[in-house]
This record gives sequence, structure tokens and C-alpha cells, in this order.
Amino acid sequence: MCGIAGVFYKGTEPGPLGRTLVDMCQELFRRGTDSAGYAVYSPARTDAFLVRVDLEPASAQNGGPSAVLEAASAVTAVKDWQRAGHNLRLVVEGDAGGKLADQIESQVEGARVFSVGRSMEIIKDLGSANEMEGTYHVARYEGTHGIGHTRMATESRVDIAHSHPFWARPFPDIAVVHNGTITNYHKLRRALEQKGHHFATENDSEVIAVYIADRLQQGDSMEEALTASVRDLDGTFAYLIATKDGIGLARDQFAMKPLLFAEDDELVVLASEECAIRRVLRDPTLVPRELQAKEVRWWLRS
Amino acid sequence: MAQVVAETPGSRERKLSAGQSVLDAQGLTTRQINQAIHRLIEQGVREIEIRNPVAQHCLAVAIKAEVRLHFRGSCGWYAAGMNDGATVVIDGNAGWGLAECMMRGRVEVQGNAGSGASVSIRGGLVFVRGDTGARAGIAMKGGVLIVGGNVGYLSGFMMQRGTIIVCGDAAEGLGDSMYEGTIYVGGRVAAYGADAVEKECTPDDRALLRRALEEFGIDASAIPFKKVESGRKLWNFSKHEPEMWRNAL
Amino acid sequence: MSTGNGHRDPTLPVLRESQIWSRAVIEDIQMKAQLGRYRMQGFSTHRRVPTFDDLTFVPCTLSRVPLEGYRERCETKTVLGTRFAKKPVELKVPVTIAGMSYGALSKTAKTALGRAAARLGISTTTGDGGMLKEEREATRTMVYQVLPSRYGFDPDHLKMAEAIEIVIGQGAKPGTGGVLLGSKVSAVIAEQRTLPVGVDQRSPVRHPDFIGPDDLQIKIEELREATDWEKPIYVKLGASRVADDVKLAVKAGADVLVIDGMEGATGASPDVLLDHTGIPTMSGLCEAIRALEDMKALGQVQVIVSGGIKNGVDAAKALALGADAVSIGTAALIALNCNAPLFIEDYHRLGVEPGACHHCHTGRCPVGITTQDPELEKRLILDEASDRVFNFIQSMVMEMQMFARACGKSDVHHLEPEDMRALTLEASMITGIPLAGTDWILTPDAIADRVAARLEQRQRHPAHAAR
Repeated sequence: MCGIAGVFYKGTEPGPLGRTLVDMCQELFRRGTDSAGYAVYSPARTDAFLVRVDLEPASAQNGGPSAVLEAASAVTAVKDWQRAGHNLRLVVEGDAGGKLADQIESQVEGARVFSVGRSMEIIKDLGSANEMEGTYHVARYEGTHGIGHTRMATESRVDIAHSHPFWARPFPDIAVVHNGTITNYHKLRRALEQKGHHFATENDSEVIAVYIADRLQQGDSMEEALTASVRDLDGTFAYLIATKDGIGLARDQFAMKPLLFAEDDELVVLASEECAIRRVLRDPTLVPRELQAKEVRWWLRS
Repeated sequence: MAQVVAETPGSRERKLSAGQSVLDAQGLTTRQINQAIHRLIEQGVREIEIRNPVAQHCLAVAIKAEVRLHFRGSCGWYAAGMNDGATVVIDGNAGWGLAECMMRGRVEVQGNAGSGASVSIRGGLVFVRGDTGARAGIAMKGGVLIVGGNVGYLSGFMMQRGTIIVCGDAAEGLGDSMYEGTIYVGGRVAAYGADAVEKECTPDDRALLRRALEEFGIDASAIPFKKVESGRKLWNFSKHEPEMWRNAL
Repeated sequence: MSTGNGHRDPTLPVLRESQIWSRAVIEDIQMKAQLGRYRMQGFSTHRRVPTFDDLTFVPCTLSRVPLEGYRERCETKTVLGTRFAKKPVELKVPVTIAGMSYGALSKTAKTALGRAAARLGISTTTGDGGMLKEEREATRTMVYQVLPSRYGFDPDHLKMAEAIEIVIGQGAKPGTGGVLLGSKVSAVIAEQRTLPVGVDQRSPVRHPDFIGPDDLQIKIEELREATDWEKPIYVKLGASRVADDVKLAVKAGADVLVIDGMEGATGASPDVLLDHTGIPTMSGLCEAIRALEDMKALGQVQVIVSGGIKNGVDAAKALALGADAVSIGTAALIALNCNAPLFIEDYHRLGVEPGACHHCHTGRCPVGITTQDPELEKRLILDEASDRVFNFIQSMVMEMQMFARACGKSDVHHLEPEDMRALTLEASMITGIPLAGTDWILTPDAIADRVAARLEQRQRHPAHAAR
């Protein structure tokens, strides 16, 4: 059970995405004190991929970063890299046909690839949004759209890997944040595994990302994928799915988990509670609205 | 005429006149706001205006006093929950559980309300000018809920007594498993719940609707209200209505 | 000449009954063929499940010193709700009376329980119908339940209570709502619950204004704000997915957890739910304690356990496993007179015998406990009934102290798992207590450690490998 948040800037210019998401997630802190995370999107690179790798403390101390660079270099050209705490950010030429993440993880003990995308970066860790800022400085990020999450672990473990957002691995640029519990998770997972998909965690939210990515890959539009999800997912959910083009959302048929949005000509702001929206939107005439049961919405840059 | 009364250094409370005060909620927590409200009520203040609420949760809960509270902004969840005599006006939105379990009093929201608005109230009046989320007025045990806009999924579920007036549309499950009580709907009903039966409004119904809505500036005669009440088939276990019971049990 | 399976005297009938299609199953199917729905009963599951009976104490002998059974002091004082409340609840002994509604029980029954509780210095709990004035007057410490139905919910009564219990579910039937059949929805009960007289009341399973633990967190804040942060907030869980639920309840801000196991009873329920939902009380308790340890919240958040607690030794074992107190429901009713051999022809009218009656749901309780019929209620005499409950709980406390002293403890709360041994394999695996006569702890980590140690020993001393 958790808090979720999202921002989509309608114009062509990036906006103060990081600051907005961090503030909203901090406001939603009490909904989820275990961890916080973001998937932030900047204008897509045509010639490179962004990769976010998390290292376990032991690995981060003992040659993990260089091992990661070595593993990545074996399959693609590494153009640039930076370190933030036990996190590595790489800019690479290609994603080795979708195999880059597997390559890094198999070669480097204690490494977990959080995201690969032309536009997207996933940053997540234990603690609150404000606590994470000292290491990751997400608030400085300028971007086109993004989603955020604060986590109260219900069934799976409290650790970084099981925190949201979940990358729909290996599809570049697709991530999900979810509030609720998917009660037919195991059946859905097995069906998707039969189709050849893989899962990195035991967390039920991850299945939403893979499900939507699978549908989009089959040729569904965002609207079709979201609508099908309302029928196929059982349990409680309000989720935000982000791709390099924008954000989609769906709410379960019984309206069990809260989600509101406020929209004007320039942007869309979404959050589990109004207080998070009010924190970042000063215009009192802009009235947030709660999504209805089974409602789906999407905002895409064409 | 405004007087600045400083109870403690940096106090946020400003007395307007005998019996009236303004409270600036900027930067205050729920606890601080509620404690300030209680303090003012103990001092005999009867009208309090609260400025700059930013949709904090649990504001003005369980107030057992005939006072008027005016929130100049949005409240979060459980606003005026367990209200017992106060009049609470909210200029913006309210979150989930607006006025839940209210005993007496009056709560008005000029914007929208979240899910579970007016659940289980036993008396009093709740008015939401905009829309509510799902489960509005479920398990109501008395009182009146008026919604100027639409209500969401499963509104009026297991209603026991009282009146719900919806000027707009209702989502699926309206009035599911109602015991007693009456729902009036002006717009489209996506689907009725189990054992909810649509009836024609009588002249008495129309008079009631006119009276109830005119104080909020809504013209009842312009809205084609239908009445929804319990079919009473689910009051006792019966093997003769298997379809109905399969969904209800 | 025999035609079948050998020669036998045809005048002697031999009945070969199927284990699958037993008489009970046949009766059940044929009854449902009449009813067209599931069957209802009161009480609890009839199944045998792993219980505290599968554990035994290993008191002091030579290696430890016992306390003098009838002389040396053994403390029983219990404090609940130290985490956030300004006024934690103090009980003289670690036994409370569980939530049972006025409606399911008669007014006399509720009042008798209240009076006994006041004399003992313990608490009673309201139920799925709200507060009974007579109970509040009788009892010393009242725990006010907040239930999905909110029948009779009144913020004034909330403020009059010493503690607040948010009921997520009950052990008898986690995941389902309460039931009170029409025969017990009298005019008085109907008015209190705002229902039509005689209706078959079905309570919702979910609370109307919160859905998940993230919402619960805000709901708990609301209840604290409404009562000036004075009163402990209990969260009652039917033992189901206990580890997850406990962690969430703690994260949501609970002061006290009430874990109600599958042996817990109810006034009325579909019988299949009683038998096939929830996990045993002992299992639920162990899972809850491990979850609190994982969260480093043991000691901060107290645990009350209920569901089939039938005497002081069960209570002692529950405390030894980590509970801070136990709660009794059925046992208190039996002390009142439930299933007593009185008015026997009325038991027969229900198709049962005293000692085998679970017909609380009918409202025809022969001894006036689970009924709203004034004629039947008269059979329960208030003072005597209250005395009986007092006596029974006194006996529980004496039993608890006896075991504690025998194990060398001057406080019943000092009992530990190490004071016990398991008598069955299941109990050993559930509790992590060695099987009697062995020192094997059957948890994965303990087994792995033992095996690793033994392998290491063999490597160092290969001559001993021939054992």
C-alpha cells in the first residue's frame, strides 16, 4: 500500500520535473515509509541509452563500478558514466538487443539494473523522498514527464529491488508505479512467463508493467492496453504507467485505491491525495478530480 | 473590527470580534489545527475561519459543539468525521470519508468529495456541490446527503435509513442491498445494485426535493428525479430468489 | 453358493461407511438441497487443529529453582498500549473479555460480563452493535469496537471508552462480515442498529471509509484526533495472512494487536467458513511474534491473542510464546452457563444436547445468553452469572501463576518459549520449540546451522563419521 504521483508537461520544453515529484512524494510519505522511487523522462536520445544500475553496499565498495563498466563495454560502447552513492548512471550506445541488463547482472555480483531506456531513468532507494535527496538530487532533474512512489510494503520484502517504479524489463522506457495489491498476480505472471517474459522480483506490481508492455508490443494502443488491464487485473489498483511518450493510468472496478488529477493547458499533476497536489500546484482555481472506478486516462506526446 | 489577540507568541489565531476568529493554518499540522480549534471553542468562539488549509487529513473531527467552521480551501480525508453538532463549510474539495459517522450537524463542500462521503451518518446534513467518489452514503443510518453532481460506484450500498439526493448521474451498484432509506437520482444510473427498485416520485417527494435543494440554489423542478428504494427481497434469507442471493451473499 | 466376496451369514448386517461420503456429508448435501444456500451455525469450528495442547511445560527441577507455589509472589499486572497513547490500559491480570455484541448476547449476559470484569480489574469489549449503557456502567475498562458495519456507532461512546479496537476481521471467519439472524433482531436491537425489525442482518466485510493499510493509517489518526490521543488503538485481525497483516498494522500505527485464531467462535456464520478459513491461534500467535521481531517492534506493540483459549494453561502457554494477554469469548459464555445441563428439553427442541449445542444463531438459547427473548433471558440470573465468570477467570489466573512459579518466574510475563517442549511435530515446526526429548529446533535456519556444525565436526574428526 502506497502513495503514487505523476507529472506530465504538455509543452515541448522540459519542466522542473524532479522538484515536483520529490515534493509530492514527500507529502505522501506517510502512505509509504519504507522506500521512495521515481521514473523520470527527458527528451529521448536517438543515439544512446541511459542505464541505471544499483549495487549492493559490498559490491559498491569492492570494485563493483568498474566491473559494471567492464561488463557493459563487452557488448556496447559506454559513452559516459557517473556515480551517486551505490548507484551508477551509464550512457551507452546500444542495449545489446535487450540483453544489456542480463549481461551486467550475470557478470557483476550484487548488481541490479533498475532501468534501460532512451528517455527514462529509475531512481529508488530505502527511506523517504527527502532522505534520498542527499545522494541522488532528483529535485534538480528537468524532464518531460515522470512518475513517483512511496512504499508501504504489503506482501513482498522491504528492499530496494522490490521498491517501485518497476521497469517492464527488457522493454526500454516502460515503468509502473502502483498502489494496491494484484490478487491474481501468480496466474498472470505464469501466463506472461509462458509467453517468454521474465520477472526480476516477487512483487505483484511488476506484473502490471510487463502486462502493459506485452500488450503494447502486440500492437495495442495505450487506451486499449489500459482498458484491457481493468478487465484482466484482479484486486485493488490505481496505477500510473509511463512510456517515453507519456503517462497512462487505470483504476480498479471497485474504486478501492485513491487517485486524483489536476489538469490545465500546461500540465497534468496526479497523486493519491489532494494534499500532494496542493503542495506543488498553487493555483487555487485548479480543482483536482478523483478518478472513477474503471476509469482509464492517458496523456501522450504524439 | 479586527483585534490581534496573541495567546502565545507567534499565535496564528486572530480574533475578529466577540465570538469570531480567524486561524491561519499555513505550515500547521493536523494536530495543531485541531488543538487551536478546540482552544477557541473553549474560549467561547462560535465562528472560526481557517485560512490556507492544504488538504490536511482529519481536520475538525468529533467536534461536539454548535459552532461554525469555514475552511477557505480544501480538506483532506475524514474532514468533519464524527461531527456532533458543528456546521463545517469547505470551500475546496474534501478527501475520503467526509463527515463519516456524523451524529448531528451540517457539512457543506463547494468542490468535490472523495470516496465514502457521508458514510454511516446518523443525522445531520451533508452537501457536496460537485461530484463524490465511490461509496457515497453507504451504511447511512439517518440524515441527508445531497450531491449536486455525480456519485461513484456502489453509492448507497447497505443504506439503512436517511435520504440521498443525487442531482447528477450514479455509477454502477446504486443502492445495492439497501435495507431502508430513500435515494433520489436526477441523472443516469449506470446500473442499479441488488434489490434496488426504481419508483416514480410522488408529489410529496417532489415537495421534499424542492425544499431540500432550493437553499443551495438548485431548481429541483428542472431535474427529472427518480426514486430508489429497497425491494426488501434481501431482508431475509430465501431460497426463492437464487439469482439475487448469489450476488448478495 | 456365494455370488460375491465369500460366504457370510446374510442375517447379520455389516455397515461399510465411506470416509468421503460419510453420514455427515450426506446429511449436509441433503440439507442444502432443501435450503438452496450455505448452512449457518454459531460457535466455532468443530475440527481438530494444532493447539496449545500440543505443548507441555518443562518446569524447574534440578537445573533451575521453582518458586513456592502457594506463597511466593507472582505478578500478573499487564499494561497495554504504551506505544502512542497518553493513557495506556492497565489490567490487573492478563485476561480480557472479547468483543461480543449486545444483540448476539442478551443484556443480562453483557452486564454479567461487565461486572465480573470490574471485580477482576480487566476489560470488556463492545461488539457489532455498539455500546450497551449497562455494560459501560458495569465494567471498569471498556474497549470500544469500530467495525465495518458501524451499527450503533456513537462518537460519545468512543470518548467514554478506555481503548478503541478497530476490527479488521475475526478468527472464526476472516474475510467475511458479521451476521445476526432475524430472530435476534428484536425491536430494541433493531433500533440500536438502525435496522428493520426481524431482518437477517448481514454486516459488510469492509469498513466504509477505509480500504487498505495506507488508508487505515489515516483512520487511526482520525480516531486519535477525536479522542485527544489519549486512548490506545487496538487492531483486531482474524488470523489469516498474519505476518503481512501485522507488519501493516504496525506501520499504520496500531498500539496493540489482537490476533484471533481460527478456533475463535461467533454468534452466527456459514459453517464452511468456520472450518475452512483462518489459521490456528497458536500458529497465528507465532507468526505475529516473528513479524514483530522482524520489524523490531516487539515490546513496543503489545499482542493480545484469542480464539479457543479455554483455561489458564492455554493462557500461560500463550504468554510464554510472546503474547501480552489473552482474550476469552466462548470460555466466558460457558462460565455464564452456555451448554450447562439446565432446561434440557429446550436443548432437545433445538435438536441438540447440553455439551453439544452450537445454536447461538437461532436466538433460542436455553440458558438465556445468546437470545433476545425476555422469557429465555430470565433464566440467566445476573449476580450468579457474574460470580461464575469471576470465579472462572480467577481459576485461570491461579493456573497461570502456578505454571509460572513452577518454571521459576515471579511474573507471568517472564514465561518463555524455552519453558516448553512440543509434543507433536507440527507444534514443533509451528512454534520453533524442540520436540520433547530432543533438542532439535525445526526452523530452516536452525536446521541449517545444526547440519553445518555437524558437517564441520565430521570433517575435523573423520573417525566419528561411522556413527
